Amino acid sequence: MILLSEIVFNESFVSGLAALGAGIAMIAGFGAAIGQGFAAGKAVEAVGRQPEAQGKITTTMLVGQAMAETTGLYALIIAFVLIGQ
Amino acid sequence: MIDFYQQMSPSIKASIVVTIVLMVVLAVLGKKVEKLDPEKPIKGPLFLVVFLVDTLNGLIEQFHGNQWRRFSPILIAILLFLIAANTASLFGLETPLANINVAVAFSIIAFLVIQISGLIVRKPWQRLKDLMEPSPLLLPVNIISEISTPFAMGLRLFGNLLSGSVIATIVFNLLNNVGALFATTIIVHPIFNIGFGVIQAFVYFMLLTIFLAMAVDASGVSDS
Repeated sequence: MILLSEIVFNESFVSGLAALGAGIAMIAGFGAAIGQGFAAGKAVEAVGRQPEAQGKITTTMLVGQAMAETTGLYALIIAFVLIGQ
Repeated sequence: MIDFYQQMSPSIKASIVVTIVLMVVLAVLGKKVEKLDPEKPIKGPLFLVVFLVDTLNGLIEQFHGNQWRRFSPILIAILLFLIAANTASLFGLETPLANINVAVAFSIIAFLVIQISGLIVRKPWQRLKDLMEPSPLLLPVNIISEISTPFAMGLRLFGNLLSGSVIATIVFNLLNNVGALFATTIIVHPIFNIGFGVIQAFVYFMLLTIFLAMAVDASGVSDS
């Protein structure tokens, strides 16, 4: 068992916790993935309802998915910044 | 001057190279299009150029109404630069947008374009009134959103291109020579440069068009 008094707050401690934080930040990827999947599912429904509008639906879906990706990208930037610590 | 160039990071060098190549190519194409005879049908690669510009103009016209002629040059220029920059790593250059300075420069461009055209088209007093919608109490919130939206647009580009180049580096270092060449040419570059890069360029273009239309015409709908 590790006693609290034995922990040394040196640079490797900081960088280890920063790596942990980078991993935790990437949990935000869940949200982006769910959003993108939701957009794709709705696009499939729309194509099923209106097959002739497939091109327009695909373009709109791609733009929407790229928007939904934003939160995941912010998490990625934060993770990169943390790794650089 | 040479020292200054050599000390720059490879991403910024690549952005300068992309700018110069685009300037030369667009100048040559513009001269060729200028000489065209409007009576005759257009042939060859010039048809592609004219068709592309026409499509994009039509897209911008949907959002800007009769003012599209004022905004289409800068919007199309930004779209062309982003497409060329995001696919630049196919030609052995570093991805320019993977450097945060270039990405934030795009944020600043978007901010200035939106604010200056808002001030010119709407006149300063009307623009201030637009910012005070729906109530004057919300003025600080609206100003913060005016600043944060372009910043978020730049960061989106940066994150996407940075993730692409990091994944390409990881794949390239993990595999041996032949495998790395194979994987990067067949998997990584098509997905992260051609796919995501062009989609992100288009998303940036669409967002800038929409926010510009909102700043220029606060009612949102521009008839005619």
